[in-house]
Amino acid sequence: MVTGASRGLGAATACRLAAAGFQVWAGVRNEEAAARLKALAGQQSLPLETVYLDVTDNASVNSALGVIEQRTGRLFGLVNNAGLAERAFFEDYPEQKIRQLFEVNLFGVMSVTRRALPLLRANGGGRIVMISSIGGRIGLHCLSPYSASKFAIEGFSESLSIEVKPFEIAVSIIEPGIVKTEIWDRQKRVLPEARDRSSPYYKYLLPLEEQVDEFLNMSSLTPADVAARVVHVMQVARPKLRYVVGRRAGLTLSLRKYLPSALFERVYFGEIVRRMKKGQSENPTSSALQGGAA
Amino acid sequence: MKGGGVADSHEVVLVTGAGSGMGMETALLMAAGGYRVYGSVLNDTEDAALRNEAAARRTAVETVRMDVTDAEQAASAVRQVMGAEGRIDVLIQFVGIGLRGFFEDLEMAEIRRVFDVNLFGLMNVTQAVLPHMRTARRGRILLTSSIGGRMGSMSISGYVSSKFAIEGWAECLRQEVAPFGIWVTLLEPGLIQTPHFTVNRNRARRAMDPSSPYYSWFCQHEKIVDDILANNKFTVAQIAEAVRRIVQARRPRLRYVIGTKAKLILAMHRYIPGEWFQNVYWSMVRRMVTKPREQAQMRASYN
Repeated sequence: MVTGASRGLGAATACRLAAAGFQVWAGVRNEEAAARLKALAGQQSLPLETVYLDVTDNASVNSALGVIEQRTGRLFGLVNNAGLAERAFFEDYPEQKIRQLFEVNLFGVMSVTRRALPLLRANGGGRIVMISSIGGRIGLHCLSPYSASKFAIEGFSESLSIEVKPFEIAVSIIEPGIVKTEIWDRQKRVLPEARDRSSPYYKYLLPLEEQVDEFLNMSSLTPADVAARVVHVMQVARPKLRYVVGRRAGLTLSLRKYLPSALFERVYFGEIVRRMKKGQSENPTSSALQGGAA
Repeated sequence: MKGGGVADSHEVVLVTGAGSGMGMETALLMAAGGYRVYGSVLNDTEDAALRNEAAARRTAVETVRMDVTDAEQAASAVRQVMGAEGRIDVLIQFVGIGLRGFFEDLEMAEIRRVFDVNLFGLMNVTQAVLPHMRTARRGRILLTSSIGGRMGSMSISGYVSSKFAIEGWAECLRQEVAPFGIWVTLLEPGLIQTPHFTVNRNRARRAMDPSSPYYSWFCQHEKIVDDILANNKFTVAQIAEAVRRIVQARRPRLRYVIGTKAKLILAMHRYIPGEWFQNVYWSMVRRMVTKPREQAQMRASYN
């Protein structure tokens, strides 16, 4: 079962798993996405079933997992991929938007996992894969609710792995660096609140946007890289708890682990603060941003 | 940790969750140290408890009423402090609740409630305080996480994920508000006996249901935790003292682990290669909670 399989990482993962011989249920949110995914799978003549799943809707979670329960009575693997990211400085972030994000990125994941656990136990063991992010290990500016939700996934997964191990269920967290998917591309997902000129943070947005562009351009990570790692977790006998995908992400996380914390923070977070301050003096009016508002 | 000087007597400190435990102790210690302290309390009982304790120690703490889960109440409590003092220099957030039970036994409503307080509640108060600190171009925000914000644990997955969430949020916030002269810091105390354990343990409803497949493990684990707490010499006064020093540090760090045991465990978690610590430590705990015979039976009954 792959959630959020309409596009991006989820679609790539569902297809890869089907190609590797798994019987795949792809959770999608509408008919259009189902048709698109079926067509994509059809091109490679991969067997793949779509099922309607909105992770934020308890009834939908119940009925989607209910379908699997009825048809097979058990489940070997669950890939929690559904997620969203929207960018704005914390002070500008409306409470409702923060809660919305948590409904998808955390509570949705928990509710699907909770409903899937009896099926995984009935299977006599299995795998739960969480698609987290480097943002689940390092706080990313303008993404505080997203990072909070991904950190929460990390803590949840670490705890869950301890609890379900006696049932031979392994929990693995996949932490990709920045992958070029629509989650980053579409307007870079900047909330209108962040584009409001009256925000005290407005002057800091442009220099940080430039940095995000640099990161995106440097990144060579594709959804296929992440999908390949998910297939690996499903096939290997003893999966690890954490998998970092992408060399740059791996390097950054190693630095964070082995450098003294204060040094890492001064270098990594300090660079962002320097950019903010520098950008403020160089771009007193950053009019270019206004054009980008959706 | 630098500092340790005498407080500027005009500095105003807002402490959330000051009605008991670490929050109360810290509010009283800061007040004794010369700060103008406002302690947030949830109800009359907490209000009286804080006032009585302040009177007993001959210090002055003002109380403000707020349920942090309500953004409007948070904003109005902050307005009240600003109206009286015209400034808030330090915000220390202790407010938080626990939730005990194996994940499969937790209701989504129970988990959401933990996040309403532990994460969204802290966010509400922080959003209300930030504009004032920005205008003043100085401020300190201390957020209470836990050792459970750095590593996973058995039978507290909902609590742990809320504390991890605070960590992720605080790392971002620290970068975003640094240009305004505001410091964000995480407090990570180890396991400690507070009303969080003694009075309001907050066990999940289904965790205590014998028909749960995790029931016997949960009960066994609760006993182990009780034993650890009973032998724990770590006190809230030690935490409050550490917090006072952190508030006075010239350049507060992002994280402070409080407690020797917590420091040791987190160092092992961080530096022992691969996932050895996770595997070895938790298989030890699992052996303690699941007698091998029972474990085999469990698996058999679900296969």
